Amino acid sequence: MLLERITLKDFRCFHGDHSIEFSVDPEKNVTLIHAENGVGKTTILNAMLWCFYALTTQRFEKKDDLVNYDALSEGRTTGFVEVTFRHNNTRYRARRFAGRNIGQERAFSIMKLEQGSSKELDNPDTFINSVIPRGMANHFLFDGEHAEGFMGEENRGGIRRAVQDILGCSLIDTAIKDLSDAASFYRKQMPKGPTSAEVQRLSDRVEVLENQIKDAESARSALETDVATIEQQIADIEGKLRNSSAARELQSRRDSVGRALERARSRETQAREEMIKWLGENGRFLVSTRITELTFDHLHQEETKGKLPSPYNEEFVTDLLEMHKCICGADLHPGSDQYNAVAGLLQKAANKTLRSRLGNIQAGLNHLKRGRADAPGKLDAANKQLASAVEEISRFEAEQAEISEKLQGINFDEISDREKKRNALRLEAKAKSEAVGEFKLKISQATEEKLSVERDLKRLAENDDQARIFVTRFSLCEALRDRLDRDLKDEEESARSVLRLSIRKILEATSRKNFRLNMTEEYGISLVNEAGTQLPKSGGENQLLGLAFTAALVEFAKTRQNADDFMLLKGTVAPLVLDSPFGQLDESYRQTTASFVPRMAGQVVLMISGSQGASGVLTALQDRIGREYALIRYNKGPRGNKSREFRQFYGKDFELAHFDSAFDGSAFEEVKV
Amino acid sequence: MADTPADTEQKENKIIAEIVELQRAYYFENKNKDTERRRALRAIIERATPASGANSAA
Repeated sequence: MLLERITLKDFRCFHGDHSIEFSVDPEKNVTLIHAENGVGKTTILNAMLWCFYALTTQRFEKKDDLVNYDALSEGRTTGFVEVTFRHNNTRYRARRFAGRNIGQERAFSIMKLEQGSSKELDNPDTFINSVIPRGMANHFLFDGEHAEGFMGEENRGGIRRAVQDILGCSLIDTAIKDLSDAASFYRKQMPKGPTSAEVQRLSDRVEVLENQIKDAESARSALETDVATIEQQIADIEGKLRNSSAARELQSRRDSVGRALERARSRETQAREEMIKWLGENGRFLVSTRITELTFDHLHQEETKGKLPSPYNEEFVTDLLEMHKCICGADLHPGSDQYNAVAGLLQKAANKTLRSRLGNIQAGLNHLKRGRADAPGKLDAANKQLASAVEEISRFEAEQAEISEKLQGINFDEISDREKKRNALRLEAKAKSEAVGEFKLKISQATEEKLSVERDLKRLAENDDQARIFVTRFSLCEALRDRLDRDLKDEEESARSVLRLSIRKILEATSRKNFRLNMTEEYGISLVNEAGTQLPKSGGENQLLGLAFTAALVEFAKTRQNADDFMLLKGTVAPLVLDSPFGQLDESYRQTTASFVPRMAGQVVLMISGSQGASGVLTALQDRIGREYALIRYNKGPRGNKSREFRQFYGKDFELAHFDSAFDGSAFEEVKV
Repeated sequence: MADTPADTEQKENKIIAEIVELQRAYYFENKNKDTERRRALRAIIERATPASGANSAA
């Protein structure tokens, strides 16, 4: 099947007539529809499912309210969905009407379109089931938001049904149920004759045992699901504990870095104190450099000039004045000019104290000079010590910040609770596994007893002409049922192997983790590492797994399109409609998955919101997009305080919501032809 | 003379083919008529095991 066009008329959120064309180009096989939440993505997916089969997905609310509310209030009581498609080189148009007064015969029709004329098919249901069997259709319409739960442990039945649907087991499955029903019918029909009391007793016993087996199998299956759920919970906890153990290592590293940081800070403080102390002791050598040099220069100049110290000694001048005799022999009379001239020398004459002071100054200046010469080396050493401490502090602080970032979000108090919870779950799983074993034993014993009672019943009935025929039919039904059951199990096993391989390949191409898929006989799906340890599944991984499973089913259906097996339905090639398949995936997964999506089927209709359709996704898809639309919301009410929302496609702005409109509903706008 | 296992299998195959065909018809017709289908299946069983020659297939 290749979709060409869909028209929605007064259907759900589509008021009036709205159509889009799908890309039929095999190279550009993706039709991309941008739609924010609540605008109609799920409606489009359900419109197709409903048009072909009158079915809707689980998530589709108010399944019976299909006609648009505004259309109803305007007096229009019906709506419809019309899908034009190609199948085996012929065009068809399927149309299904919704509304209270639509008769069964009018509700669904398929027209074969040939060279300008059209012819209505007599059995549209039969035809559409031959194009895409009803059971398979759900798997071509992927509800991404539902996928997470689909792959959960609680949905083993759903996974089994999906495998059976695509395998086309529906015929055998119903036949098995019908044969069980017929066997029971014939056993109860055995007439009362001479041996009637015993026949009745044995027949009743078979029924009791059948019920016991059925109940025990149901209990065993429920317990096995419980055990699988617990095992996944344990795997989740162990995953968190592995993180906790990593957290413990980080914490220990943080402690060690903290201690090293403290030591570095202490060294820094010490280095600074050393510098201050050193500066206190030696700083004067640095600050006095200029003064010392000027003083030395001045002293040297004065010494050179013979002015410092003064050439006249105070004691010598006083002696001359007391002796009234100059050194030249002339008399010195007090009051005479000569006397006053010699006495005037006392003002500049050097005495003992002055000479001593001058000597001290010179000695002090020499000390400063020597200290100054040593100062740079000592300062450098102190500086180096300080710089080393500061560098270490900076490094340790950066390491601490890095560790802190890694530790964010980890609650250490929860770790011990998790340990306890894990141990409790282990005990619970063990108890339930033991209970499973007990039920298996019960089933085995009851089956053995049933076979024995059935043999007795047959022997007894062989001798009863009236009962014999019913025993024969009963036995035939049981034999046929057992054979079909075995055939179904064999078919399922080979289907599981193909699907398992296919999913593994897809996961290898899309997942960043190195894990393997495990699918048990009971359809328990888990992710295991190379050592075989079950791994926790995140929401994103469940969604990826759901998508991979869908891709594998689509591929499997395609390989079976020409299958020649009268007991199984043929596979099919159908378009894949994906609603929000990236919701739970992170940006990196989205991009990888987006590049894989066009290869999932010959034709893909992809519906994504703005957040899911970030640039990475669009870049990965750009060469494969054939048609592209945006779903725009129209509201009758006023805008109020709501801000205007735009998205830009190919350089053009598209306003996502309009107000004060003529109707409430959604409409398509083509953004790329 | 009693049927050999091969004979029995051949007869069973024939009945299974009929049953599957019945299931196929009801599946594609989109009929939700379980009672009718089960009655038709019993008719197949009864044709294969006529009351006069009670062990024609089993």
